[in-house]
Amino acid sequence: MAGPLQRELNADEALEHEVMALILEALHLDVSIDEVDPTAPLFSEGLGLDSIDMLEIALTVSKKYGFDLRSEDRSAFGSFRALSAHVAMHRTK
Amino acid sequence: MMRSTMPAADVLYARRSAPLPRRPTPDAHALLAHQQPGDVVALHRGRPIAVDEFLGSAHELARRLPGRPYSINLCKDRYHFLLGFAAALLARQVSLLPTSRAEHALTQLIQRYPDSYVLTDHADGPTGRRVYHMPESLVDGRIHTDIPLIPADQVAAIVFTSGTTGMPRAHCKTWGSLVRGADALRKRIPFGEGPLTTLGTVPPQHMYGLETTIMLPLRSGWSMHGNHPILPADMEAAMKEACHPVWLMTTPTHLRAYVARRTHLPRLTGILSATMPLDRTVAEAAERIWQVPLYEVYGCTEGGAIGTRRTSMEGHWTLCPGLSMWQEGDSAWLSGGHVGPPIVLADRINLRDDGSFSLVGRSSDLIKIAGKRASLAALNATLTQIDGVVDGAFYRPSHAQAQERRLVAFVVAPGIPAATIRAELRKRIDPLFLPRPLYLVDALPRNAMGKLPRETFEAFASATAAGARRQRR
Repeated sequence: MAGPLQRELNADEALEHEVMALILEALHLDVSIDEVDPTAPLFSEGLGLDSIDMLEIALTVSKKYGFDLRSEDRSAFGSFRALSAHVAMHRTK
Repeated sequence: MMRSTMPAADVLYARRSAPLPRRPTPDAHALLAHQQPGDVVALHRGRPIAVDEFLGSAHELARRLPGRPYSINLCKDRYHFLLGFAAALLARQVSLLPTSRAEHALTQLIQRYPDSYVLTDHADGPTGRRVYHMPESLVDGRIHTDIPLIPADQVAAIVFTSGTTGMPRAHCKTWGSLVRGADALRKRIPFGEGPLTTLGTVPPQHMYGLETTIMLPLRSGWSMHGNHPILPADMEAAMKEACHPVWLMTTPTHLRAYVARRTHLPRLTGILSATMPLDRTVAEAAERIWQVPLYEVYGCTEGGAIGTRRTSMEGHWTLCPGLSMWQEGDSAWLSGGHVGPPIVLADRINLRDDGSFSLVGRSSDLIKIAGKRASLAALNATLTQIDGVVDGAFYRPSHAQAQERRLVAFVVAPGIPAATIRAELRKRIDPLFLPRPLYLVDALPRNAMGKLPRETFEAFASATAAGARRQRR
């Protein structure tokens, strides 16, 4: 199945991969992408990130994709998958 | 909602008259310094809260709070925190302000203060009989124009620092010492005459947050912004709601982000930064971008604000009024003013003849990340107390930017997955100190004395990290 839908799925996957690599690097998490579940919650459980990380993620995303994250965008901070979907929707570069 | 059977708070009142009376006596200080009943005390969810509404809500909350002497105030909304703090003062309760919300830390605190309850305004966190949720609405139907006077020697809050044994050390703050601390800051920083709004990125449970976003506005007749914005976009939105010129109470970590984003802060008139030293270049950039003065506060949980400096112009710190500082051997001591009896400082200090001082480092056991302190010895003790952990040690990378780098941990725990240890640590320590990453190793390079010499440990740490990176590729 190599239609337009498949191409879109591949693009989503590539962006998710890119976002994960970017954030893991920015937060010095020192874990490889394969070890991280893209659907696991970023805060509290899961990766256990905190508000300093949230700030770092917002900065990294705005620098790379050209838009500002708000803490109201709670769902965007849900998981890497949610974050990259949010990036896909709001990116200006 | 059930009304508590607790009797109405026993409060000393100033005489009723208009405008609001303010008669400070040597042994009591007014809860707030606002002059008119309509003066704004806080902005809550975009709505201004005037003195009469605030006092009505605080009195009503004081009547409803559980009748226990200790109130663990975990409220995240800054106005809720203020209400809880004020109600506790009115009900003669002591607010306990833990630095960590970690499950184990709270359990430990409750065990230490069995007569306590938890006051909270959010769903995540402790549950059970001891937990009292901030009511959505607090109206007592009476008009309050009398400003309560709080005795100076009443213990208003207990704040905590990490001890070296893993048991936090408690520090009592009387209402008088908090008032003197706010007054000292006002004397050191040129805030100007008119009313201001304070906007903070630091939690009010932290001593610096308590001083600058609760005590300063209360004692200066200003309004405090109820939000706790962190992200640049949130900061911009919060700034637009302010009713007066805004002073931003923040930290180098947050400030760097706003400078990097050149966040639009239209009503800003001044910035305070504390928790760790700010780079002069960041201070200069902030003053240039927003055309406002930036002052740094040097302080500690035990003493509160100790000194200040205009970072773009001064390298040295000037001591807050009323304090004296002296040196005994390598240690610096402080007393007087809002500090009271002598305390020893964790930082190494170079005291100059003119009374100004500079910081020259700190004891090697002390870790500081984003304004929170921890003792390496205490973290190591916590780690090795976990079931199945045979040996383990935290490690602080010593290279550049280490101030914001997290800790790394090396753990010997045969048969236990790293995720299990991480989960156990999360219950016990503040997330800021969670290891990034946690390495499972066969053994630590301890010498014959059982110690980990710094150089050996450093070599071991970089070799282990390199090995893990190779494995991932």
